[in-house]
Amino acid sequence: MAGHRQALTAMQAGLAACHVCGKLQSCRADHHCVRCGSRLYQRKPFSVQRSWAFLITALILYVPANLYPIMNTTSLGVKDENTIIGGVILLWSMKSYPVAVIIFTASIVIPLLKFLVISLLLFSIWKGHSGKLNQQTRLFRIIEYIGPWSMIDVFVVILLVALIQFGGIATVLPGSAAMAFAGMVITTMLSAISFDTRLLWDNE
Amino acid sequence: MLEHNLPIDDLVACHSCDLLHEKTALGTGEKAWCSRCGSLLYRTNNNAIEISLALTIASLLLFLFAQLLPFLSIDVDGNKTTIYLISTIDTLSQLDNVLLGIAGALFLVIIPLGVLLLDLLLLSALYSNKRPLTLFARQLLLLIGRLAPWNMLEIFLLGVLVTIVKLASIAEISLHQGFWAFVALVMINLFVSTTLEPEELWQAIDKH
Repeated sequence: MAGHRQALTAMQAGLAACHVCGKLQSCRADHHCVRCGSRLYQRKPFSVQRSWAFLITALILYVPANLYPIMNTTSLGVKDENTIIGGVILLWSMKSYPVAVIIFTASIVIPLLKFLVISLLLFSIWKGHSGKLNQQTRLFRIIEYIGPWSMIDVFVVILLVALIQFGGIATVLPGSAAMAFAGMVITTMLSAISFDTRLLWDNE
Repeated sequence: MLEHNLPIDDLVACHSCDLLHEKTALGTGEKAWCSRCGSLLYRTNNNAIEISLALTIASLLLFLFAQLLPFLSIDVDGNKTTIYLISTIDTLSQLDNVLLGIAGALFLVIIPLGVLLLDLLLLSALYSNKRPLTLFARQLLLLIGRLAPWNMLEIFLLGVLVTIVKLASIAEISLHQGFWAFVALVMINLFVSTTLEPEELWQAIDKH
């Protein structure tokens, strides 16, 4: 364990850890990192605003991503449109329980969880709450890690489209929800990247 | 502004909560955690660069195998087709949906291959101890850091597995060398990302 004698943050000491490479250094305005040359900030610039902007964009994209079909299948002349939740229900009815659970978690639960956690943390920064900061930080790290896993369904669509074209008997085409969904995952990831957990601790 | 009485190089700030800590020397494989919020501060690993370089070369070969060897074949009522990973991009580009083709090319080929090549350049430069590399190495490491969150090979592997299960009800699926190369690639990637700390690379660049 690295010891800390006085409880002092880098900002209070007039220092800044570079956001890109982590190098600790004294911080002046308009300064660039001595090690990697990136612009030096004590906190990510416009972190709260950027996080909100990306999160709201993601929330808007979440609607068409779930309402429109993520893929259109044609099998022996019969057309079928599959939404994300429709695909989950189909998998469940075909007794593919583990896969149904994976898709449900990745496509429905994780995005909702991300919306919930990031907006709660942003509210917490705004209101100046300082309770349970350990849990809040850990929660954010978990959300940040599991976020990209939502892309599974997009990859499945890409693969099915590519595979079934060769099959001849049936065709699969990407639906309009596929890009909305991919955009939703990308914007939630950008929201998490813009978020600065140090702002939570500044309220302590 | 409060005073701190230690030299800056002996201090480390937690990247999660910004609290300053005095650095202490760690043994191989040990980790230092933040005393306030519990996030990882830093860790050490002897010859991480050497190991990572070897694994990066292995990953590049596996990446080529995964893309160019037969990936899997599907058999619908005796109609057998064999798929190559690289041909998925080709199929997607023939559809009207240009954006999905671009997304596929980015996530399946360009970003993972780009990161591997950048890793190879950086690690081999650091390993061979060539002199005039600092500026170039810094740029490489910055770019690797920017691309890292978008490298989703392990997620794509789970997507492959889900696809196989989905198709298994209507067709016979058999897995080929390309698939297994891809599985090995993902395993090695996960191992490298837990072994190699960016801070270690920055310090290695600083030493030059």
